[in-house]
Amino acid sequence: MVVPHVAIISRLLLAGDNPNTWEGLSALPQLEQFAPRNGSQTLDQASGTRWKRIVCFFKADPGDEKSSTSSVVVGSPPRRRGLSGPKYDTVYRTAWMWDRGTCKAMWMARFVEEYPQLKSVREEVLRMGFEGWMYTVAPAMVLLVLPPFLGGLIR
Amino acid sequence: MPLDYQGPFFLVFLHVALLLCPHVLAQGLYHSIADVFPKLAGLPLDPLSKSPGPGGMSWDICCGLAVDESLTIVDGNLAFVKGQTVLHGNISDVINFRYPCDRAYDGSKLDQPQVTVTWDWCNRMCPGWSITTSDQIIEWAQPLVAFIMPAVIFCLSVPRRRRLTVPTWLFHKRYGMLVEGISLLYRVPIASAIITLDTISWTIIIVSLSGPLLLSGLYEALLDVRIMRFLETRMLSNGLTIRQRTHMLLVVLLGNLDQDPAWDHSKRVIEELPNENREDRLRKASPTIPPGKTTSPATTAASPDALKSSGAVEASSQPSTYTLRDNKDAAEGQTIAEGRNAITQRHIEVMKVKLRSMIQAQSTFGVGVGAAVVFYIGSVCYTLVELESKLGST
Repeated sequence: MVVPHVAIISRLLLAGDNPNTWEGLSALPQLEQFAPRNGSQTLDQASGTRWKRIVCFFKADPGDEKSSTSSVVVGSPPRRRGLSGPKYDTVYRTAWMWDRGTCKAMWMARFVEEYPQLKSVREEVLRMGFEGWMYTVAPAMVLLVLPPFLGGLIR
Repeated sequence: MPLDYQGPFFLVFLHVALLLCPHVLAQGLYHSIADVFPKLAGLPLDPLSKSPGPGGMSWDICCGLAVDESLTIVDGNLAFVKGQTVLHGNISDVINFRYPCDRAYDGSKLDQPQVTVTWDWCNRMCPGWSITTSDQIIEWAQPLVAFIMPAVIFCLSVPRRRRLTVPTWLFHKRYGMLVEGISLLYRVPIASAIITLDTISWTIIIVSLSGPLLLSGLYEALLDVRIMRFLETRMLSNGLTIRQRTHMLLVVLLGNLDQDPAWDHSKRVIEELPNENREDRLRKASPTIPPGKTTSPATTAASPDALKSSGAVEASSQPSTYTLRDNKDAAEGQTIAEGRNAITQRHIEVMKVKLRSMIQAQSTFGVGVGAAVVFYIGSVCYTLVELESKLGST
């Protein structure tokens, strides 16, 4: 019964799962510079290397032989040829469900850096404190313990 | 008839009676426990000598071992082993009822013959696990339909970053329709196998990592609530600029994406939005403020007015007293303001539509999981009620 709990929590979040909506609305068909992917995830690093090779095939200036820092034309991501790949064919990558909270906190931290005059954002939004931990840990424990608790009611 | 001629007939009659009347056997003529319970005759001599193998544990043999250990034959009569705790009640109850291992546990009183063992004994004497056979439909069909299939369906709605997909070259059209149709015979099973493997692996991941998933989801929900509350408290005071508010809303909607390149794109999208709050607008309207001490709060940090302005960004601002320009400057400023407002207003309206579209593009909670959860809860409640009547059901 824990799987429906996870599904419920995931659907309560405001950030949508499909980044295609944002890609269509932002509509930024400009020259982009792709930075190397974060090496903490080996799969993404490998796909980034393949991505760079494939993107270099489509680059505007064939004379530019730079690999990792070349400016390339952004089209739609190329078709997947292997079994494993991102869930959505966009330039944006969604976080794993177990990373979403951290991901959003990092976005807020960057927002605070961008607007240093908004000092209270760090205090009111990012600081967890006892209350924050209780609002996250306690419901998580209840949702995890609820199914075996209901089973234990059977006598 | 003389007694010597009656003896053989009497012995034959006694043997026939012994065979046909089990109750007669209770009167001291047992040689082994298998005479009372023939099913115990098939027990292995040394159950621990051979590992049962995966799924090879048998509850029938395990129960039989427990019964065999708790009974003995004393002077031809069935008796409990001294100090045994497996069987309960009188020995006559054990004999009169059927073989104890055939009865299902129904939560009745302990004076009726039931077989109870300790976990320690069970772990020692009956290692391994018992595989569910296909003829035990109730044992596998109900969990499959009531729990496993709905769980798989719920797993499909949980966000993920990567997945196993069917390669595009598998269904790339190369030949004519006839050959393509025949090739479906192997393409469809391959695609089905890939998707099945992906779904099963994702289900396993969710079940095993449910704690971190729940914690991270609740953490993000808490951040969303705090951000919305922060914006609501600042709306009336106009403490935030439109650009800051929009960017904060974009953080809420895009906070699950990698910052590269989503962060840069979010900044570009809000470039056209005004970055002035109410204090800045009032300051620009006044000619008494010396130049260089207006514009956005981000650039002003030294003067007390700037500090007051930056503080007023976050707190409810007091209405300041600024002198108005003269009529000519006021008209010119108003004209510039009207022209800028028309363009910036358009950008603001476009941004509103974008934000609203992003929220509306998501499916509603009821469509996504709400209705399915109601059915799932109903199934759980039915199973709990059913278990109350079938205690001990596997």
